[in-house]
Amino acid sequence: MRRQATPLSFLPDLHMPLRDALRGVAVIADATEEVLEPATRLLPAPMAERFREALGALEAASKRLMVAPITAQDIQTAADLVTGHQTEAGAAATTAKVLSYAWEHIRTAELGHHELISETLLAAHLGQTRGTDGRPSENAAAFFAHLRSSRAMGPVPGFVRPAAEDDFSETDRALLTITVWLLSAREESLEAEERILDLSSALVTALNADLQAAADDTGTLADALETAAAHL
Amino acid sequence: MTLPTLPEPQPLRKSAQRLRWFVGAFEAQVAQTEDETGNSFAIDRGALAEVFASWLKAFEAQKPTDDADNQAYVGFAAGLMLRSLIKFKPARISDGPPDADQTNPAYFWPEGYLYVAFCLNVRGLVLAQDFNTDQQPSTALDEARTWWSFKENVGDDPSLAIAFLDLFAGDDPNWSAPDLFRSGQVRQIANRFYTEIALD
Repeated sequence: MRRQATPLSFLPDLHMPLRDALRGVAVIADATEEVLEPATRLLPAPMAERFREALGALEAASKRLMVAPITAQDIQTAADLVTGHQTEAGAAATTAKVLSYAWEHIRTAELGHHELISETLLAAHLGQTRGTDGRPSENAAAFFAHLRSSRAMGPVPGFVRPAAEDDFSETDRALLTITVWLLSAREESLEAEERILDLSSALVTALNADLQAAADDTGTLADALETAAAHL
Repeated sequence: MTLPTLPEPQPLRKSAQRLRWFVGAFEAQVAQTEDETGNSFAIDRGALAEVFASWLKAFEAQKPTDDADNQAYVGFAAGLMLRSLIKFKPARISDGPPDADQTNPAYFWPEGYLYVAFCLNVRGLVLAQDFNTDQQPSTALDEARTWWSFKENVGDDPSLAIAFLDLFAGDDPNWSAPDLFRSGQVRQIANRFYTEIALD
């Protein structure tokens, strides 16, 4: 059944900004615990323990609420948008939901980045993207370049971290992981899709030098993405 | 060995060029080897991805342009895989039978045995399914002396893994330049002029 458009359908889903707020709480709580870890050692043990518990509870509660559930069909819609085959109304919001889900999945998995994502900003940016007649990988490379400059994802404001050795940031690697995943062949279940997302993260890490060298040129990146996705 | 399937049907040698297939097949081999030997392994998936990426680069670099070489390339590609596995060490034995016979290759070098079993199984399956050819493993596969030589030599030069896999698979190993693929035509010409020397 087709969903009826709301009178203000150009505005993002009202749950979206709320989920963004909770994402901020979860990431800040996580980052605060890491940054203040040396200081908590100076506190009496019971007080330090209560501090950690309070931050942990805040982080856990936020994480439960901040990720909207997705389906295999949502992933297909996102893949269609990224590869330039989807222009249907509502695809941008669905894709933003899928990207946010994937972002949180790899944030808590092996990649372990500390970067924040705004589902609301993502949906707004994706609403402006238009597919071209080019290859799926060319559309995916353009998608990567567009989101890379969108500021919809990035470091947590005020969170201090060691200076990166290069300009290829955690944000770039996470975004490439998701792009390669969406460009690759689809699986039948959400569980299998999450497994492929994990493998994409491992593959992007293994191919880091090649992808980094290609990241600034859309044509070269399209070839690199096509190769990576074909072998995922 | 039960191998994973991919959404779209394609020759096994094509499926094997995908990380999702490779990881699924390797995990199936780990389960089978653990069941058969009583050894237990810890697997590093990050290292497995590095194995795959490294293998893929080497595989693409010498991929033959003549379809007549495809079957020979299956054996070479399996050797390249063994070299990558030995180099990146994605498996580590975590437990094993306490009184195992250390002259048995499965206990003499558990990780090496696992890698060889995986590469031989995939090689045999691709040859059978895509080329209708049976693999005929040699008796060297069970010889403790060969395994001792194998472990020591690949420790010095991982590329020798390619020649050793040929030996285990019952093919003619190329000991002098194991990491260079020789097409069928070149191999025939080379064999007229050179005599292979077997390792001790």
